[in-house]
Amino acid sequence: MIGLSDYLFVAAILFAISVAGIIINRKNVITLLMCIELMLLSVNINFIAFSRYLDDLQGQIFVFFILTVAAAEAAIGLAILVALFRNRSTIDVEELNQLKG
Amino acid sequence: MNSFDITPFLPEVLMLILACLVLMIDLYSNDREKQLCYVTTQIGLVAILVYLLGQVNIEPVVAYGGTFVKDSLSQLLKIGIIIISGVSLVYARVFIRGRRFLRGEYYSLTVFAVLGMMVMVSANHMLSLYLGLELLSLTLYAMIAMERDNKLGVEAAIKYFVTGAIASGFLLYGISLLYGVTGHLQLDSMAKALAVEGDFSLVAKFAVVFVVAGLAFKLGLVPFHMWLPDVYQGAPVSVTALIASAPKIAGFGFAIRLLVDGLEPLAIDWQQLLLVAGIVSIALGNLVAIAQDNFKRLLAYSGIAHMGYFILGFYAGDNGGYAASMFYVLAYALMALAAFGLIVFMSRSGYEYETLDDMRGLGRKNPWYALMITFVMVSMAGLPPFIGFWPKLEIFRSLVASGYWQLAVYAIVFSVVGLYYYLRVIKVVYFDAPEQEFSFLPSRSIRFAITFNCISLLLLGLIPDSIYRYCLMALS
Repeated sequence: MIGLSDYLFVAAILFAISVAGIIINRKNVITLLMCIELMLLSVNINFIAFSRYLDDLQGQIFVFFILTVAAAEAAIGLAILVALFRNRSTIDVEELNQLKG
Repeated sequence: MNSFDITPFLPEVLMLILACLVLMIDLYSNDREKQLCYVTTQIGLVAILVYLLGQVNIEPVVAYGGTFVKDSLSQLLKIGIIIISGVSLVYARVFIRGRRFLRGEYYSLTVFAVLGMMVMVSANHMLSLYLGLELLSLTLYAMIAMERDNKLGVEAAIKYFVTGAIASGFLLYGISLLYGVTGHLQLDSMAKALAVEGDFSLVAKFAVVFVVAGLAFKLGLVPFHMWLPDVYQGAPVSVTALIASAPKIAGFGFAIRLLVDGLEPLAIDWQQLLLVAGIVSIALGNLVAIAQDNFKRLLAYSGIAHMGYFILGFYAGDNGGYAASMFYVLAYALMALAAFGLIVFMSRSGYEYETLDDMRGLGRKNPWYALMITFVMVSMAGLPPFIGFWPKLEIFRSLVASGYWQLAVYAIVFSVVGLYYYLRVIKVVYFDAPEQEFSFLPSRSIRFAITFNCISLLLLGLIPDSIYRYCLMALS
Protein backbone atom coordinates (compact mmCIF):
# COMPACT_ATOMS: atom_id res chain seq x y z
CA MET A 1 0.00 0.00 0.00
CA ILE A 2 1.41 3.36 -1.04
CA GLY A 3 0.59 5.95 1.59
CA LEU A 4 0.60 9.72 1.66
CA SER A 5 4.09 9.89 3.11
CA ASP A 6 5.53 7.98 0.15
CA TYR A 7 4.20 10.56 -2.28
CA LEU A 8 5.48 13.38 -0.14
CA PHE A 9 8.84 11.69 0.05
CA VAL A 10 9.11 11.39 -3.72
CA ALA A 11 8.05 15.02 -4.13
CA ALA A 12 10.63 16.16 -1.58
CA ILE A 13 13.37 14.19 -3.33
CA LEU A 14 12.42 15.65 -6.72
CA PHE A 15 12.34 19.14 -5.22
CA ALA A 16 15.78 18.63 -3.70
CA ILE A 17 17.14 17.29 -6.99
CA SER A 18 15.85 20.35 -8.83
CA VAL A 19 17.34 22.78 -6.30
CA ALA A 20 20.65 20.93 -6.39
CA GLY A 21 20.53 20.96 -10.18
CA ILE A 22 20.11 24.73 -10.25
CA ILE A 23 22.93 25.27 -7.80
CA ILE A 24 25.42 22.74 -9.17
CA ASN A 25 24.79 23.27 -12.87
CA ARG A 26 27.39 25.67 -14.26
CA LYS A 27 27.14 24.76 -17.89
CA ASN A 28 23.85 25.18 -19.61
CA VAL A 29 20.86 27.48 -19.22
CA ILE A 30 18.51 24.88 -20.72
CA THR A 31 19.32 22.57 -17.82
CA LEU A 32 18.27 25.37 -15.50
CA LEU A 33 14.91 25.58 -17.26
CA MET A 34 14.49 21.82 -16.89
CA CYS A 35 15.27 22.03 -13.18
CA ILE A 36 12.68 24.79 -12.76
CA GLU A 37 10.12 22.62 -14.52
CA LEU A 38 11.00 19.67 -12.28
CA MET A 39 10.55 21.89 -9.24
CA LEU A 40 7.02 22.84 -10.27
CA LEU A 41 6.15 19.23 -11.06
CA SER A 42 7.32 18.04 -7.66
CA VAL A 43 5.00 20.63 -6.12
CA ASN A 44 2.21 19.20 -8.27
CA ILE A 45 2.80 15.73 -6.83
CA ASN A 46 2.46 17.24 -3.37
CA PHE A 47 -0.79 18.94 -4.26
CA ILE A 48 -2.31 15.85 -5.86
CA ALA A 49 -1.29 13.62 -2.96
CA PHE A 50 -2.78 15.99 -0.40
CA SER A 51 -5.86 16.51 -2.50
CA ARG A 52 -6.51 12.76 -2.62
CA TYR A 53 -5.70 12.36 1.06
CA LEU A 54 -7.97 15.21 2.16
CA ASP A 55 -10.63 14.25 -0.37
CA ASP A 56 -10.75 17.86 -1.52
CA LEU A 57 -10.76 19.02 -5.14
CA GLN A 58 -9.07 22.40 -4.65
CA GLY A 59 -5.58 20.93 -4.76
CA GLN A 60 -6.16 19.30 -8.13
CA ILE A 61 -7.54 22.53 -9.57
CA PHE A 62 -4.47 24.34 -8.28
CA VAL A 63 -2.36 21.81 -10.20
CA PHE A 64 -4.08 22.73 -13.47
CA PHE A 65 -3.19 26.34 -12.89
CA ILE A 66 0.41 25.51 -12.00
CA LEU A 67 0.73 23.48 -15.20
CA THR A 68 -0.64 26.35 -17.26
CA VAL A 69 1.63 28.91 -15.64
CA ALA A 70 4.60 26.54 -16.03
CA ALA A 71 3.88 26.33 -19.76
CA ALA A 72 3.78 30.12 -20.04
CA GLU A 73 6.91 30.38 -17.97
CA ALA A 74 8.75 27.89 -20.19
CA ALA A 75 7.67 29.83 -23.27
CA ILE A 76 9.03 33.09 -21.91
CA GLY A 77 12.17 31.41 -20.60
CA LEU A 78 12.94 29.88 -23.98
CA ALA A 79 12.21 33.18 -25.73
CA ILE A 80 14.72 34.95 -23.48
CA LEU A 81 17.14 32.11 -24.15
CA VAL A 82 16.83 32.63 -27.91
CA ALA A 83 17.48 36.35 -27.47
CA LEU A 84 20.49 35.49 -25.32
CA PHE A 85 21.88 33.11 -27.90
CA ARG A 86 21.47 35.63 -30.72
CA ASN A 87 23.38 38.21 -28.72
CA ARG A 88 26.16 36.08 -27.35
CA SER A 89 26.26 32.88 -29.43
CA THR A 90 26.48 30.93 -26.18
CA ILE A 91 24.14 29.77 -23.46
CA ASP A 92 26.88 28.91 -21.01
CA VAL A 93 25.93 29.92 -17.47
CA GLU A 94 29.48 30.90 -16.58
CA GLU A 95 29.61 33.43 -19.39
CA LEU A 96 26.67 35.34 -17.96
CA ASN A 97 29.09 37.57 -16.11
CA GLN A 98 28.89 41.01 -17.65
CA LEU A 99 26.75 42.32 -14.83
CA LYS A 100 28.64 42.31 -11.57
CA GLY A 101 29.95 44.56 -8.85
CA MET B 1 -25.81 31.47 -7.11
CA ASN B 2 -28.45 33.06 -9.32
CA SER B 3 -26.74 36.32 -10.18
CA PHE B 4 -23.13 37.08 -10.89
CA ASP B 5 -22.08 40.42 -9.50
CA ILE B 6 -19.15 41.85 -11.38
CA THR B 7 -18.75 45.10 -9.42
CA PRO B 8 -16.09 43.99 -6.90
CA PHE B 9 -13.91 42.83 -9.76
CA LEU B 10 -14.72 45.72 -12.10
CA PRO B 11 -11.37 47.58 -11.97
CA GLU B 12 -9.52 44.37 -12.83
CA VAL B 13 -11.91 43.53 -15.65
CA LEU B 14 -11.50 47.03 -17.06
CA MET B 15 -7.74 46.70 -16.77
CA LEU B 16 -7.82 43.42 -18.71
CA ILE B 17 -10.01 44.99 -21.39
CA LEU B 18 -7.62 47.93 -21.56
CA ALA B 19 -4.61 45.63 -22.04
CA CYS B 20 -6.33 43.74 -24.86
CA LEU B 21 -7.56 46.99 -26.41
CA VAL B 22 -4.04 48.39 -26.47
CA LEU B 23 -2.84 45.20 -28.17
CA MET B 24 -5.57 45.55 -30.81
CA ILE B 25 -4.78 49.20 -31.44
CA ASP B 26 -1.12 48.27 -31.74
CA LEU B 27 -2.00 45.71 -34.39
CA TYR B 28 -3.96 48.10 -36.59
CA SER B 29 -1.94 51.26 -36.04
CA ASN B 30 0.57 52.26 -38.68
CA ASP B 31 2.15 54.94 -36.53
CA ARG B 32 5.71 53.97 -35.60
CA GLU B 33 5.51 55.76 -32.26
CA LYS B 34 2.18 54.12 -31.37
CA GLN B 35 0.92 57.39 -29.91
CA LEU B 36 -2.62 56.08 -29.88
CA CYS B 37 -1.62 53.08 -27.72
CA TYR B 38 0.05 55.39 -25.24
CA VAL B 39 -2.87 57.77 -25.08
CA THR B 40 -5.36 54.93 -24.68
CA THR B 41 -3.27 53.37 -21.90
CA GLN B 42 -3.01 56.60 -19.97
CA ILE B 43 -6.70 57.47 -20.38
CA GLY B 44 -7.65 53.97 -19.28
CA LEU B 45 -5.38 54.08 -16.23
CA VAL B 46 -6.72 57.50 -15.22
CA ALA B 47 -10.32 56.33 -15.65
CA ILE B 48 -9.77 53.26 -13.47
CA LEU B 49 -7.90 55.41 -10.96
CA VAL B 50 -10.84 57.81 -10.72
CA TYR B 51 -13.19 54.86 -10.25
CA LEU B 52 -11.00 53.53 -7.40
CA LEU B 53 -10.63 56.95 -5.78
CA GLY B 54 -14.40 57.09 -5.48
CA GLN B 55 -14.50 54.07 -3.18
CA VAL B 56 -11.55 54.17 -0.85
CA ASN B 57 -13.51 53.90 2.33
CA ILE B 58 -15.59 50.75 1.95
CA GLU B 59 -16.72 47.75 3.91
CA PRO B 60 -14.74 44.62 3.04
CA VAL B 61 -16.42 42.48 0.40
CA VAL B 62 -15.36 38.87 -0.12
CA ALA B 63 -16.46 37.59 -3.50
CA TYR B 64 -16.17 34.78 -6.05
CA GLY B 65 -16.07 31.78 -3.76
CA GLY B 66 -13.74 33.50 -1.33
CA THR B 67 -10.95 34.02 -3.83
CA PHE B 68 -11.18 37.77 -3.94
CA VAL B 69 -11.46 40.51 -1.33
CA LYS B 70 -12.13 44.18 -1.83
CA ASP B 71 -11.38 46.38 1.15
CA SER B 72 -9.84 49.76 1.92
CA LEU B 73 -6.36 48.22 1.96
CA SER B 74 -6.65 46.75 -1.52
CA GLN B 75 -8.18 49.96 -2.88
CA LEU B 76 -5.40 52.15 -1.47
CA LEU B 77 -2.66 49.86 -2.73
CA LYS B 78 -4.26 49.70 -6.17
CA ILE B 79 -4.41 53.49 -6.29
CA GLY B 80 -0.71 53.66 -5.45
CA ILE B 81 0.16 51.00 -8.03
CA ILE B 82 -1.77 52.70 -10.82
CA ILE B 83 -0.35 56.16 -10.13
CA ILE B 84 3.22 54.87 -10.00
CA SER B 85 2.85 52.75 -13.14
CA GLY B 86 1.20 55.60 -15.02
CA VAL B 87 4.07 57.97 -14.21
CA SER B 88 6.59 55.29 -15.16
CA LEU B 89 4.91 55.12 -18.57
CA VAL B 90 5.38 58.87 -19.01
CA TYR B 91 9.10 58.26 -18.50
CA ALA B 92 9.07 55.18 -20.69
CA ARG B 93 7.42 56.79 -23.72
CA VAL B 94 10.29 59.16 -24.34
CA PHE B 95 12.90 56.57 -23.43
CA ILE B 96 11.72 53.91 -25.85
CA ARG B 97 11.32 56.45 -28.66
CA GLY B 98 15.06 56.46 -29.30
CA ARG B 99 15.52 52.72 -28.95
CA ARG B 100 14.51 49.51 -30.64
CA PHE B 101 11.47 48.56 -28.62
CA LEU B 102 8.15 47.14 -29.62
CA ARG B 103 6.24 50.18 -28.45
CA GLY B 104 2.66 48.97 -28.44
CA GLU B 105 3.60 45.81 -26.57
CA TYR B 106 5.46 47.82 -23.98
CA TYR B 107 2.30 49.67 -22.99
CA SER B 108 0.17 46.59 -23.07
CA LEU B 109 2.65 44.57 -20.98
CA THR B 110 2.72 47.36 -18.40
CA VAL B 111 -1.05 47.17 -18.15
CA PHE B 112 -0.85 43.40 -17.71
CA ALA B 113 1.71 43.88 -14.94
CA VAL B 114 -0.62 46.36 -13.25
CA LEU B 115 -3.42 43.82 -13.53
CA GLY B 116 -1.23 41.18 -11.89
CA MET B 117 -0.38 43.53 -9.04
CA MET B 118 -4.05 44.42 -8.56
CA VAL B 119 -5.00 40.75 -8.34
CA MET B 120 -2.20 40.18 -5.84
CA VAL B 121 -3.28 42.88 -3.43
CA SER B 122 -6.91 41.76 -3.62
CA ALA B 123 -6.23 38.06 -3.21
CA ASN B 124 -7.97 36.08 -0.52
CA HIS B 125 -6.98 32.66 -1.80
CA MET B 126 -3.62 31.08 -2.52
CA LEU B 127 -4.62 30.59 -6.14
CA SER B 128 -5.37 34.25 -6.85
CA LEU B 129 -2.25 35.25 -4.93
CA TYR B 130 -0.12 32.93 -7.05
CA LEU B 131 -1.71 33.85 -10.36
CA GLY B 132 -1.36 37.58 -9.67
CA LEU B 133 2.27 37.10 -8.76
CA GLU B 134 2.99 35.08 -11.89
CA LEU B 135 1.19 37.53 -14.16
CA LEU B 136 3.38 40.28 -12.74
CA SER B 137 6.61 38.28 -12.92
CA LEU B 138 6.09 36.91 -16.42
CA THR B 139 5.40 40.36 -17.86
CA LEU B 140 8.43 41.79 -16.11
CA TYR B 141 10.71 39.03 -17.50
CA ALA B 142 9.51 39.87 -20.97
CA MET B 143 9.86 43.63 -20.49
CA ILE B 144 13.46 43.36 -19.30
CA ALA B 145 14.41 41.43 -22.42
CA MET B 146 12.41 43.68 -24.72
CA GLU B 147 15.35 45.57 -26.12
CA ARG B 148 16.55 42.50 -27.95
CA ASP B 149 19.99 43.65 -29.03
CA ASN B 150 20.87 44.93 -25.57
CA LYS B 151 23.25 42.28 -24.21
CA LEU B 152 23.00 43.44 -20.63
CA GLY B 153 19.23 43.54 -20.77
CA VAL B 154 18.98 39.95 -21.95
CA GLU B 155 21.45 38.78 -19.33
CA ALA B 156 19.47 40.61 -16.65
CA ALA B 157 16.29 39.00 -17.96
CA ILE B 158 17.64 35.46 -17.73
CA LYS B 159 18.98 36.08 -14.23
CA TYR B 160 15.68 37.53 -13.10
CA PHE B 161 13.82 34.70 -14.77
CA VAL B 162 15.79 31.94 -13.08
CA THR B 163 15.69 33.49 -9.60
CA GLY B 164 12.04 34.43 -9.99
CA ALA B 165 11.14 30.91 -11.04
CA ILE B 166 13.03 29.44 -8.07
CA ALA B 167 11.15 31.85 -5.81
CA SER B 168 7.83 30.70 -7.26
CA GLY B 169 8.90 27.09 -6.76
CA PHE B 170 9.75 27.69 -3.09
CA LEU B 171 6.54 29.57 -2.54
CA LEU B 172 4.46 26.83 -4.15
CA TYR B 173 6.17 24.09 -2.18
CA GLY B 174 5.36 25.99 1.01
CA ILE B 175 1.78 26.52 -0.11
CA SER B 176 1.36 22.83 -0.95
CA LEU B 177 2.52 21.84 2.54
CA LEU B 178 0.21 24.40 4.13
CA TYR B 179 -2.63 23.01 2.05
CA GLY B 180 -1.84 19.53 3.27
CA VAL B 181 -1.65 20.65 6.88
CA THR B 182 -4.82 22.71 6.96
CA GLY B 183 -6.89 21.36 4.09
CA HIS B 184 -7.67 24.89 2.96
CA LEU B 185 -6.36 27.24 0.31
CA GLN B 186 -8.52 30.19 1.20
CA LEU B 187 -6.47 32.46 3.43
CA ASP B 188 -8.94 33.17 6.21
CA SER B 189 -10.02 29.53 6.56
CA MET B 190 -6.35 28.59 6.60
CA ALA B 191 -5.76 30.99 9.49
CA LYS B 192 -8.73 29.51 11.35
CA ALA B 193 -7.45 25.97 10.84
CA LEU B 194 -3.97 26.92 11.97
CA ALA B 195 -5.29 28.65 15.07
CA VAL B 196 -6.64 25.30 16.29
CA GLU B 197 -3.29 23.96 17.36
CA GLY B 198 -2.77 20.41 16.22
CA ASP B 199 0.14 18.01 16.03
CA PHE B 200 1.02 19.41 12.61
CA SER B 201 2.82 22.50 13.87
CA LEU B 202 6.25 21.24 12.83
CA VAL B 203 5.21 20.74 9.20
CA ALA B 204 3.51 24.14 9.24
CA LYS B 205 6.72 25.75 10.49
CA PHE B 206 8.65 23.97 7.76
CA ALA B 207 6.18 25.34 5.21
CA VAL B 208 6.51 28.85 6.59
CA VAL B 209 10.24 28.74 5.91
CA PHE B 210 9.58 28.03 2.23
CA VAL B 211 6.88 30.65 1.93
CA VAL B 212 9.01 33.33 3.57
CA ALA B 213 11.97 32.38 1.36
CA GLY B 214 9.79 32.85 -1.73
CA LEU B 215 8.57 36.19 -0.43
CA ALA B 216 12.11 37.33 0.40
CA PHE B 217 13.22 36.42 -3.14
CA LYS B 218 10.49 38.55 -4.61
CA LEU B 219 11.14 41.52 -2.32
CA GLY B 220 14.91 41.22 -2.69
CA LEU B 221 15.78 40.62 0.96
CA VAL B 222 19.16 39.21 1.94
CA PRO B 223 20.10 36.31 1.49
CA PHE B 224 17.89 36.20 -1.63
CA HIS B 225 18.96 39.56 -3.05
CA MET B 226 21.58 38.47 -5.63
CA TRP B 227 19.42 39.17 -8.64
CA LEU B 228 18.45 42.69 -7.68
CA PRO B 229 21.57 44.77 -8.52
CA ASP B 230 22.12 42.90 -11.79
CA VAL B 231 18.53 43.36 -12.87
CA TYR B 232 18.43 47.04 -11.94
CA GLN B 233 21.63 47.66 -13.83
CA GLY B 234 20.97 45.52 -16.87
CA ALA B 235 17.32 46.23 -17.57
CA PRO B 236 16.37 49.22 -19.74
CA VAL B 237 16.06 52.09 -17.26
CA SER B 238 12.42 52.75 -17.93
CA VAL B 239 11.70 49.11 -17.04
CA THR B 240 13.86 49.41 -13.93
CA ALA B 241 11.80 52.43 -12.92
CA LEU B 242 8.76 50.18 -13.01
CA ILE B 243 10.38 47.14 -11.33
CA ALA B 244 11.84 49.19 -8.50
CA SER B 245 8.61 50.92 -7.61
CA ALA B 246 5.12 49.49 -8.14
CA PRO B 247 5.91 45.77 -7.55
CA LYS B 248 7.21 46.68 -4.09
CA ILE B 249 3.75 48.00 -3.23
CA ALA B 250 2.26 44.79 -4.56
CA GLY B 251 4.86 42.89 -2.51
CA PHE B 252 3.56 44.60 0.60
CA GLY B 253 0.02 43.58 -0.29
CA PHE B 254 1.26 40.05 -0.92
CA ALA B 255 3.01 39.91 2.46
CA ILE B 256 -0.01 41.28 4.31
CA ARG B 257 -2.42 38.86 2.65
CA LEU B 258 -0.20 35.83 2.98
CA LEU B 259 1.44 36.34 6.36
CA VAL B 260 -1.09 38.39 8.29
CA ASP B 261 -4.39 37.21 6.80
CA GLY B 262 -3.32 33.63 6.15
CA LEU B 263 -0.58 32.72 8.60
CA GLU B 264 -1.37 34.93 11.58
CA PRO B 265 -1.29 32.00 14.05
CA LEU B 266 2.27 31.27 12.99
CA ALA B 267 3.33 34.89 13.44
CA ILE B 268 6.12 34.01 15.88
CA ASP B 269 7.79 31.82 13.27
CA TRP B 270 7.66 34.16 10.28
CA GLN B 271 8.53 37.17 12.38
CA GLN B 272 11.80 35.54 13.42
CA LEU B 273 12.67 34.81 9.79
CA LEU B 274 11.76 38.29 8.62
CA LEU B 275 13.70 39.81 11.50
CA VAL B 276 16.91 38.06 10.47
CA ALA B 277 16.35 38.93 6.80
CA GLY B 278 15.62 42.53 7.71
CA ILE B 279 18.64 43.00 9.95
CA VAL B 280 21.04 41.49 7.42
CA SER B 281 19.46 43.42 4.53
CA ILE B 282 19.88 46.74 6.30
CA ALA B 283 23.53 46.07 7.05
CA LEU B 284 24.51 44.56 3.71
CA GLY B 285 22.50 47.00 1.59
CA ASN B 286 23.92 50.08 3.26
CA LEU B 287 27.50 48.83 3.45
CA VAL B 288 27.78 47.50 -0.10
CA ALA B 289 26.12 50.61 -1.52
CA ILE B 290 29.08 52.63 -0.24
CA ALA B 291 31.40 50.77 -2.59
CA GLN B 292 29.31 51.30 -5.72
CA ASP B 293 30.35 53.59 -8.56
CA ASN B 294 27.42 52.76 -10.75
CA PHE B 295 24.42 54.86 -9.81
CA LYS B 296 21.93 52.12 -10.68
CA ARG B 297 23.72 49.54 -8.55
CA LEU B 298 23.91 52.07 -5.74
CA LEU B 299 20.17 52.51 -5.94
CA ALA B 300 19.73 48.73 -6.03
CA TYR B 301 21.69 48.20 -2.82
CA SER B 302 19.94 51.13 -1.21
CA GLY B 303 16.71 49.41 -2.28
CA ILE B 304 17.80 46.24 -0.46
CA ALA B 305 18.41 48.31 2.67
CA HIS B 306 15.04 50.02 2.28
CA MET B 307 13.31 46.66 2.02
CA GLY B 308 15.07 45.70 5.25
CA TYR B 309 13.64 48.72 7.09
CA PHE B 310 10.27 48.07 5.52
CA ILE B 311 10.12 44.47 6.72
CA LEU B 312 10.97 45.48 10.31
CA GLY B 313 7.47 46.98 10.49
CA PHE B 314 6.17 43.41 10.25
CA TYR B 315 8.27 42.44 13.22
CA ALA B 316 6.45 44.92 15.43
CA GLY B 317 3.46 42.72 14.68
CA ASP B 318 0.57 45.10 15.24
CA ASN B 319 -1.54 47.35 13.06
CA GLY B 320 0.70 50.32 13.81
CA GLY B 321 3.71 48.40 12.53
CA TYR B 322 1.92 47.18 9.39
CA ALA B 323 0.65 50.69 8.72
CA ALA B 324 4.20 52.01 9.11
CA SER B 325 5.38 49.39 6.61
CA MET B 326 2.65 50.36 4.19
CA PHE B 327 3.56 54.03 4.50
CA TYR B 328 7.19 53.09 4.00
CA VAL B 329 6.60 51.10 0.85
CA LEU B 330 4.38 53.77 -0.70
CA ALA B 331 7.01 56.43 0.00
CA TYR B 332 9.82 54.19 -1.24
CA ALA B 333 7.98 53.44 -4.48
CA LEU B 334 7.64 57.16 -5.14
CA MET B 335 11.32 57.81 -4.36
CA ALA B 336 12.59 54.91 -6.48
CA LEU B 337 10.39 56.05 -9.35
CA ALA B 338 11.86 59.55 -9.10
CA ALA B 339 15.44 58.26 -8.90
CA PHE B 340 15.16 56.00 -11.95
CA GLY B 341 13.07 58.61 -13.71
CA LEU B 342 16.01 60.97 -13.39
CA ILE B 343 18.31 58.36 -14.95
CA VAL B 344 15.81 57.96 -17.80
CA PHE B 345 15.77 61.71 -18.20
CA MET B 346 19.56 61.94 -18.30
CA SER B 347 19.86 59.35 -21.05
CA ARG B 348 20.15 59.69 -24.76
CA SER B 349 20.04 57.18 -27.53
CA GLY B 350 22.65 54.53 -26.90
CA TYR B 351 24.11 56.14 -23.79
CA GLU B 352 23.09 56.60 -20.21
CA TYR B 353 24.60 58.63 -17.44
CA GLU B 354 24.76 55.66 -15.16
CA THR B 355 28.02 55.98 -13.26
CA LEU B 356 28.60 58.59 -10.61
CA ASP B 357 31.44 60.07 -12.67
CA ASP B 358 28.98 60.86 -15.44
CA MET B 359 27.05 63.10 -13.10
CA ARG B 360 30.00 65.29 -12.16
CA GLY B 361 29.29 68.96 -12.24
CA LEU B 362 25.61 68.66 -13.04
CA GLY B 363 24.99 71.31 -10.42
CA ARG B 364 26.87 73.93 -12.43
CA LYS B 365 25.49 73.02 -15.80
CA ASN B 366 21.94 72.44 -14.82
CA PRO B 367 21.06 73.58 -11.31
CA TRP B 368 17.36 72.74 -11.45
CA TYR B 369 17.76 69.01 -12.17
CA ALA B 370 20.70 68.84 -9.76
CA LEU B 371 18.28 70.13 -7.16
CA MET B 372 15.83 67.39 -8.14
CA ILE B 373 18.54 64.72 -7.64
CA THR B 374 19.28 66.30 -4.28
CA PHE B 375 15.63 66.04 -3.31
CA VAL B 376 15.54 62.34 -4.15
CA MET B 377 18.81 61.55 -2.38
CA VAL B 378 17.93 63.49 0.75
CA SER B 379 14.52 61.89 0.83
CA MET B 380 15.98 58.39 0.45
CA ALA B 381 18.49 59.14 3.19
CA GLY B 382 15.52 59.95 5.39
CA LEU B 383 16.00 63.56 6.33
CA PRO B 384 13.02 65.70 7.28
CA PRO B 385 10.91 67.29 5.90
CA PHE B 386 11.01 64.92 2.92
CA ILE B 387 8.65 61.98 2.59
CA GLY B 388 11.42 59.44 3.21
CA PHE B 389 11.80 60.56 6.80
CA TRP B 390 8.30 59.99 8.18
CA PRO B 391 7.75 56.30 7.44
CA LYS B 392 11.19 55.52 8.88
CA LEU B 393 10.18 57.40 11.99
CA GLU B 394 6.92 55.45 12.17
CA ILE B 395 8.80 52.14 11.81
CA PHE B 396 11.19 53.09 14.61
CA ARG B 397 8.30 54.29 16.74
CA SER B 398 6.36 51.07 16.28
CA LEU B 399 9.49 49.06 17.14
CA VAL B 400 10.05 51.05 20.31
CA ALA B 401 6.37 50.80 21.21
CA SER B 402 6.60 47.00 20.93
CA GLY B 403 9.67 47.03 23.17
CA TYR B 404 12.36 46.39 20.55
CA TRP B 405 14.35 49.54 21.17
CA GLN B 406 17.69 47.82 20.45
CA LEU B 407 16.42 47.10 16.95
CA ALA B 408 15.41 50.72 16.49
CA VAL B 409 18.88 51.88 17.57
CA TYR B 410 20.49 49.42 15.15
CA ALA B 411 18.32 50.67 12.29
CA ILE B 412 19.10 54.30 13.10
CA VAL B 413 22.84 53.61 13.16
CA PHE B 414 22.65 52.11 9.69
CA SER B 415 20.54 55.04 8.49
CA VAL B 416 23.48 57.21 9.39
CA VAL B 417 25.79 54.90 7.44
CA GLY B 418 23.37 55.21 4.53
CA LEU B 419 23.56 58.97 4.71
CA TYR B 420 27.19 58.73 3.55
CA TYR B 421 26.54 57.38 0.08
CA TYR B 422 23.47 59.49 -0.55
CA LEU B 423 25.44 62.61 0.32
CA ARG B 424 28.32 61.39 -1.85
CA VAL B 425 26.01 61.60 -4.86
CA ILE B 426 25.13 65.18 -3.91
CA LYS B 427 28.81 65.97 -3.49
CA VAL B 428 29.63 64.59 -6.95
CA VAL B 429 26.80 66.56 -8.48
CA TYR B 430 27.69 69.90 -6.92
CA PHE B 431 31.36 69.98 -6.05
CA ASP B 432 33.15 68.04 -8.78
CA ALA B 433 34.25 69.73 -11.97
CA PRO B 434 32.12 68.97 -15.02
CA GLU B 435 33.72 66.79 -17.69
CA GLN B 436 31.14 66.97 -20.40
CA GLU B 437 28.06 68.68 -21.69
CA PHE B 438 24.77 67.28 -20.46
CA SER B 439 22.03 66.52 -22.90
CA PHE B 440 18.62 65.59 -21.64
CA LEU B 441 15.70 64.00 -23.35
CA PRO B 442 13.94 66.73 -25.28
CA SER B 443 10.43 66.26 -24.07
CA ARG B 444 8.20 68.56 -22.13
CA SER B 445 6.10 65.76 -20.63
CA ILE B 446 9.08 64.05 -19.00
CA ARG B 447 10.42 67.33 -17.63
CA PHE B 448 7.07 68.05 -16.13
CA ALA B 449 6.72 64.51 -14.74
CA ILE B 450 10.20 64.52 -13.19
CA THR B 451 9.66 67.89 -11.57
CA PHE B 452 6.24 66.88 -10.33
CA ASN B 453 7.56 63.58 -8.98
CA CYS B 454 10.50 65.13 -7.12
CA ILE B 455 8.54 68.08 -5.75
CA SER B 456 5.88 65.65 -4.52
CA LEU B 457 8.56 64.07 -2.29
CA LEU B 458 8.78 67.41 -0.51
CA LEU B 459 5.10 68.30 -0.56
CA LEU B 460 3.90 64.92 0.68
CA GLY B 461 6.56 65.15 3.38
CA LEU B 462 4.71 68.17 4.71
CA ILE B 463 1.47 66.24 5.22
CA PRO B 464 2.66 62.86 6.57
CA ASP B 465 -0.15 62.57 9.11
CA SER B 466 -2.94 62.33 6.59
CA ILE B 467 -1.15 59.59 4.62
CA TYR B 468 -0.35 57.63 7.75
CA ARG B 469 -3.95 57.96 8.89
CA TYR B 470 -5.11 56.42 5.62
CA CYS B 471 -2.66 53.54 6.13
CA LEU B 472 -3.93 52.97 9.66
CA MET B 473 -7.51 53.07 8.45
CA ALA B 474 -6.77 50.52 5.75
CA LEU B 475 -5.30 48.06 8.22
CA SER B 476 -7.69 48.41 11.13
